[in-house]
Amino acid sequence: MGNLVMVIDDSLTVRKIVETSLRRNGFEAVSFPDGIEAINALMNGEVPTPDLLLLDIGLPKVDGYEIARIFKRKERFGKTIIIMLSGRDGMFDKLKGRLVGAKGYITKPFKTAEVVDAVRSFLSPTQ
Amino acid sequence: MAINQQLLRGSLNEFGLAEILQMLGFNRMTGVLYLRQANRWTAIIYFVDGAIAACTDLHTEALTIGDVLQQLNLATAEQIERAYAQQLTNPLGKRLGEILVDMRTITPEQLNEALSTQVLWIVRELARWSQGTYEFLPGQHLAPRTGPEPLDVTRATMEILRYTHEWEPMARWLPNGMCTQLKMNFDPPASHPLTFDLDTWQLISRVTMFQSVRRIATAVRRPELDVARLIVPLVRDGLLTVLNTATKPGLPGPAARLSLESFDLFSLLISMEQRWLRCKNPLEQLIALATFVNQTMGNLTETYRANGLALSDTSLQELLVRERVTGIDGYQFKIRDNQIDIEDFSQHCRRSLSGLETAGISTAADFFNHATQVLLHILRATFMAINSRVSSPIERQQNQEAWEALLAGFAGAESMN
Repeated sequence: MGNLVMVIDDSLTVRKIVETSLRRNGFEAVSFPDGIEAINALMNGEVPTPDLLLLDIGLPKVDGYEIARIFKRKERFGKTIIIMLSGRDGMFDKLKGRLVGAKGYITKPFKTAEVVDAVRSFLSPTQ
Repeated sequence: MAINQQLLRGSLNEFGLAEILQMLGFNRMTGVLYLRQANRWTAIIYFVDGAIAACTDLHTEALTIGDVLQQLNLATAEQIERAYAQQLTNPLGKRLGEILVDMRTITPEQLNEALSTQVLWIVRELARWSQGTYEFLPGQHLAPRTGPEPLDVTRATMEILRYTHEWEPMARWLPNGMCTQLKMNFDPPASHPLTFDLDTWQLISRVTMFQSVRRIATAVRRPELDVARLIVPLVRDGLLTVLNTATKPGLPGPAARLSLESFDLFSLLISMEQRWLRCKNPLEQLIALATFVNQTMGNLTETYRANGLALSDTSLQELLVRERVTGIDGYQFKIRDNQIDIEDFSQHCRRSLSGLETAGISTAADFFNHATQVLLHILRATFMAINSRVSSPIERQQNQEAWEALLAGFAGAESMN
């Protein structure tokens, strides 16, 4: 298992902050503003398969649940761990996240340490 | 000599600092030069158009502006302490040197002289590093503070050569340079006559309390190189013993207390964005922006408390005065304990925005746009002030990129019509 984290979130602020926090803690990170752009980049070989995906639910074009389903359908992404990010804190949303194969659910606003800890529970940082 | 990407990083035993400075100066480079030792001791030199704009030495014995002012006999320890006590109450406020200028302890010219001297002395001391690595990151990087006039690399190189030459025979006796820690040898050689001139007595009497060459020099208010010259014979003759204490990476005491490295800016920005997304109309947006200022000041107070310090009640007011944003048009923010009175501000916003119905769209829109600009200015100034207490230029740049991304989103709303 490597330590590449992909962040898909339509907020530039969230992308910058999460990417920077992960890098400061020894993880590699790439980010995209929507799922379609991320999947295109993966299919074109522009970025390697991530070990973990931090996925916002409320995305433009295609929502996070659908992106998670696409990931789970492709064998290539079978080992990619998915953690959902969302401004919604309802049980129903969390359950939906589980059903599409997410291993974690982080509610916005979050502390950056919370995200780093969640990633660290699955991946090991590079020293 | 054209700069080659491979020359931008390497080992200090291949190129010394003098050579690196010349290379960067000759190519009129702008960026930051990192020097790192295996024990995590890091120093950062900022370049603008090939000149040295600022310099930060990150270890607990680093040369502070307070040291320089005392060593140049421009200020006393008591005056520095008084200015420092004032600075401790407001990390968003003035720098130590500026406070001393306000207190009329020194003139602005003397402050500039001291700041230039600080850069020069740090650089000449760093040039003694023969182990470790260097890395130059080109581009605009934010210096932690506005420094003195940039220092010409030729002047710095000449000083390095002179200093290195003079230091060579002294290095044997003071292996850690100005940071060398000393103690009295209470069993001195029997052959020593133990008679000293006044200057030497002055130094000897301070060794136990101040230990390092630098701190002793500061205590006796003499330039550290002069003090080192006097200390060398005392070590050589066995009257003082060198302690094998490693220099600790970090910040010198005063800077460490004021540091805001632990301020969780990123989590604050995330929470602001979430609150902003819930705003349904211009009134809520303006109230949210004012609340963000309060939230930032509240978190700052907490971080400061955790550092064992109390933030002055007037920190926000002073910041607004300095930035000339104490109000919006005729309205003045009511501020108490570093918090904008949100109720009062909300009422003013309601009245001004209701002009939409009475005085026409442009009046309300103008108010909204102007109020947004003012509040964004305050937020940006607060973030900048907090950032200036972060030692790593890379982290400062990342912090700024993050808040600018957020503020750009807020500013997008600044077009109500």
